[in-house]
Amino acid sequence: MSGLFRRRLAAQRRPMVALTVLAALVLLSLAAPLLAPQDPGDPVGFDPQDANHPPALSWTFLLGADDRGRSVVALLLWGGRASLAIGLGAAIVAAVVGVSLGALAARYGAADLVVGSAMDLCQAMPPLLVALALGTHLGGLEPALLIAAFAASGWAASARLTRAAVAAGLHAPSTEAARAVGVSGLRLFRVHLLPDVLAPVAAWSASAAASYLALAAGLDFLGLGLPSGSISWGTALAGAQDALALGNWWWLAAGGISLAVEVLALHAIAQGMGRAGDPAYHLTPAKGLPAWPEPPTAVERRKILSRDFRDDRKWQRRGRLRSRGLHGRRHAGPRGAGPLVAISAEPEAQGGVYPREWELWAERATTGGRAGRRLPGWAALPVTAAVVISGLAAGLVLQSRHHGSALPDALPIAERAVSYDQPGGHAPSYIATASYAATEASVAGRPLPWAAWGECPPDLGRGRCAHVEVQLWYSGTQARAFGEGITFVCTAQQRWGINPMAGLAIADRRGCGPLGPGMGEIGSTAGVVATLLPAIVPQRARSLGAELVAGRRCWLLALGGDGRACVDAATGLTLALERLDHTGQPAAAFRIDALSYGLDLAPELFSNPIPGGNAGLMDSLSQPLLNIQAADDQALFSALVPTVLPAGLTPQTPTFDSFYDDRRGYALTQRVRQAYSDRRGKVALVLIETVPRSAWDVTPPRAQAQGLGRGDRRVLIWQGQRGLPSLVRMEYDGTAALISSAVLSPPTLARVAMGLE
Amino acid sequence: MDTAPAIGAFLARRAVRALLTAALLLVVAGIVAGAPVGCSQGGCGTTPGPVAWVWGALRLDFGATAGHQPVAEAIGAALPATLLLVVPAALIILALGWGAGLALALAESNPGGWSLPRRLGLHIGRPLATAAGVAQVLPIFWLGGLLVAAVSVGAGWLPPGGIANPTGPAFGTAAYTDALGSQPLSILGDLCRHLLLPCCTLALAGLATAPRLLRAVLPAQWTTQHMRAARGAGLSGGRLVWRAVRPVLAPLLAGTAAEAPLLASALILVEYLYGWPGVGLLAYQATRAGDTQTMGALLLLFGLTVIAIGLLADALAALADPRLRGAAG
Repeated sequence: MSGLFRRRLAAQRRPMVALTVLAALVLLSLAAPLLAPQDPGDPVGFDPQDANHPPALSWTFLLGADDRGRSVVALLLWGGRASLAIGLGAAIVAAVVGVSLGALAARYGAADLVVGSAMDLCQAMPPLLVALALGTHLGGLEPALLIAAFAASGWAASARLTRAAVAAGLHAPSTEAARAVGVSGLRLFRVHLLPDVLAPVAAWSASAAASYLALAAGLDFLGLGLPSGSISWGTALAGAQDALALGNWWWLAAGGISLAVEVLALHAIAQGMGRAGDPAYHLTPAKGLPAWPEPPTAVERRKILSRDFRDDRKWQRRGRLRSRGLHGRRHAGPRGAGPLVAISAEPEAQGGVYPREWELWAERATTGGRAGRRLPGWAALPVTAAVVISGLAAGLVLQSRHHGSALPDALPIAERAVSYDQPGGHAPSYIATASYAATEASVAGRPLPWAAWGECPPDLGRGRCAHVEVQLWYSGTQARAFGEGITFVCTAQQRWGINPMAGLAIADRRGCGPLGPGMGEIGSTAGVVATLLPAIVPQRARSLGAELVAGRRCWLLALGGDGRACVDAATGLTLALERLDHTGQPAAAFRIDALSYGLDLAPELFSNPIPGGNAGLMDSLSQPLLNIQAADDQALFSALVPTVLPAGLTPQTPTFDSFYDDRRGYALTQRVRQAYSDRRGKVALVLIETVPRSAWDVTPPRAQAQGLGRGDRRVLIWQGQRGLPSLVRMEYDGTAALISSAVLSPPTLARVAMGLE
Repeated sequence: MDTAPAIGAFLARRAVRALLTAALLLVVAGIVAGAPVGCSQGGCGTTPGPVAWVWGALRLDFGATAGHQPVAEAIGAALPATLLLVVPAALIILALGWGAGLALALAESNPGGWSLPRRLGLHIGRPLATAAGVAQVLPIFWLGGLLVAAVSVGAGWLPPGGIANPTGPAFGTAAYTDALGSQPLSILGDLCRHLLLPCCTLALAGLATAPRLLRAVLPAQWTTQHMRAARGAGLSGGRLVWRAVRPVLAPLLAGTAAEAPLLASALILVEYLYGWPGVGLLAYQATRAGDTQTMGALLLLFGLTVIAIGLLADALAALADPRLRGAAG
């Protein structure tokens, strides 16, 4: 469970209240010998004269007494011990066993058979009946036996969850990329697969604990659970129903309500965990918090300016530190109302100091708007001192340890960046839609003839701004960019990646071949970044935590004193980047809006320009494109189809959804993404997404061209490594149209082409 | 155009898996029934041993109860009462749960469309789903106890337990059958009055699942490309709903089927609570008497039922969604 999961959980009110209630009940039960007015298990600890004593204003009879004179308060306090132990214990045991076996089953086929059979068997047996059967044999049940009985039927559910999550994760692009660069074994499981498993299993465990708690109470209620002498919430309630006839309603009510509170709390926790682990669930989207911080107001800017001035003087006094590499501008560290502790406790944080507004922003952005906990005033000074000193010390230590070329292992990205240099390393490919905007002042002196000029977006303040919408294609160390209206292309031989101590790794930019006017020198992400945001000093990036941009988890980095970036944790792509002016006001912003990954672009695409150039194609563009919601293919579509779609084709939402199967022996899941029809209403162009169930099993030829003669149509396929990615080129009426999809297999594609009629 | 995979092969594979599970279950039941038992409770039972019991079970001979009655006979006597309880409860769960859940999920995920069903879904479905959700997490014996206290003991509207009027002929006897023939209305009315509370209690235990699953799955479905396409093509009403439900039918059915073991657990509690002479009460009595052979047979019965429900759910899902037929079953 990552820090993000914890913060997303903590940002929800109901689960946190439930967690508090649960903790309070556990503590109360643990403290029962100290708190309870009597020991219900002690036969002389209570007076039978007090039978059915109504609730009174005394600690003993606050909730009345049962039909034997025992205090209901004492019954509940003592009974919670066994009940909570059984419910929570069984859920934990079931989760641990289930995760282990489920992961084995997902990874190894042989284990899958054995574990799968065991899962089927154990899920078929009702937990209560298992406990009863065990009780029949052993003549009674101990708490440990009950835990075993419930876990025996419960582990199967968590194993099923784990198996599904791991099986899906094994084929996730990030995992495949990790495997391609040589990560394997336990590290692959722990780093890349386990985080996806823990959230659903934790949510399941909480609701299972509630079920087991109620079941155990039911078993005790039957008189078939724990031995008659022991106290649990079930045995405590055993006679309560009959006592109703004597007017004793408080016994049943108090017992039932406390049981219900416990069960409801566990369910609320389960729901909160489920939402925290679901990236699609938006936590408190209201409160007007942007994903990127608001620019400071005029008053705040003045404050920052004066603080900068003060800090400059302060840091000048500490010249020694400065000479060791910590820069001296605007990193005053926590100040003001008191330090925030949440983010700096994150393992991702490098322990450095950074401007407080970023810290605040990261905190608000990841917790849905709730400000961090503030320390009381008296603690502010010592804690501030401790945080600053330890942060400085950690920064110094890290700085000295990682001096030179050695890369710290703090960010997975570093590992990736190194791995791509290894021979045989397979670099996955990506397509991204990105936007770039910059204020007029910030691009002064640099010609941006391809940019559209207009009003600045709200996060860039006032005045005129240059806008560029870019489609970026990445393949390993090469990249290609398409601007809005203009296509400019460049390939660069360089490595991209982030070294948290050394900053963005930007190699030399070269090899750009202009295709149109307004060429920029566009290389990899770093190249794009360097071109669009030239003033950023990417040295000594510091990690501020994690963030979600374009649906991807990325590392939020402070770049020098001038910029901030969010770098995709899995791919190393820079998903968002801003250059700030001296006052902290964003002056230029680059942001990837959508990212489609796992696409292995054919090498031909990078070596050859678009056939015939794009000028003629632009003229033939007759129809506006549908603004497709699906982020994945939009980049490609808007990058390609507008320039190549022949006149007379009308965008059309597909009127069918279809299930195909492939004859090649592996199952496919297919979905029609988009279809275009011609004037007669016939489907002319189909974009299909196809996902093989097991991509690793398929190894078609690496490059395969296939012509399907149907008059004026021709389909060409470039097949990538392992059959994963492919590129389809469809020629239509002599005009080239490039259509791509995530994964296509040749026979499937053939049928798609046939299906056009 | 490819044809979808035939469903026969999938069903065969799935049935083989179910048979394998059933065989394993038989072994476990044999161990429960046949293993030697301690003498601590209900006297020293003589057990035939697991192998002999399994061999007997294959010939439908499940041994004898502690009262020297054949187990098959005891279960056969208890089964009609359980079916009387379970079938209406299951119908209530399926009809009310799926109906309210579907109406609610559609109303919540499709703001704007279909005014009447939408209003019904929102104003009836939402309180119903909330109440069912609360009722499902409450301990069933406590809920049942409250119902008995309020409806039977307090108000005196319904009998607090049992299956037949104690003054009349006992359920399952020849006299009962005769009375059913001679005066069916009064006997059936009496049965319904006895049935109402246990049936409702059991239904409450499972009512919330379908709305929860549907509300979790359907809204996301509504924004998919194929739903946009379907709406763009002019589909509406039931055909549109079916297009939304069909791709997610598998998790819905699996989730519903996964409730079966918990419902079986609830059945035991409900039958005990209301003194309903079915297999759940039999399980309780068998545990009390240390009667391992009955327990083994009951484990087999419950387990086979759960397996059959799972098989049925998978078959229905595969019938609706051809993509599942290629799965390993």
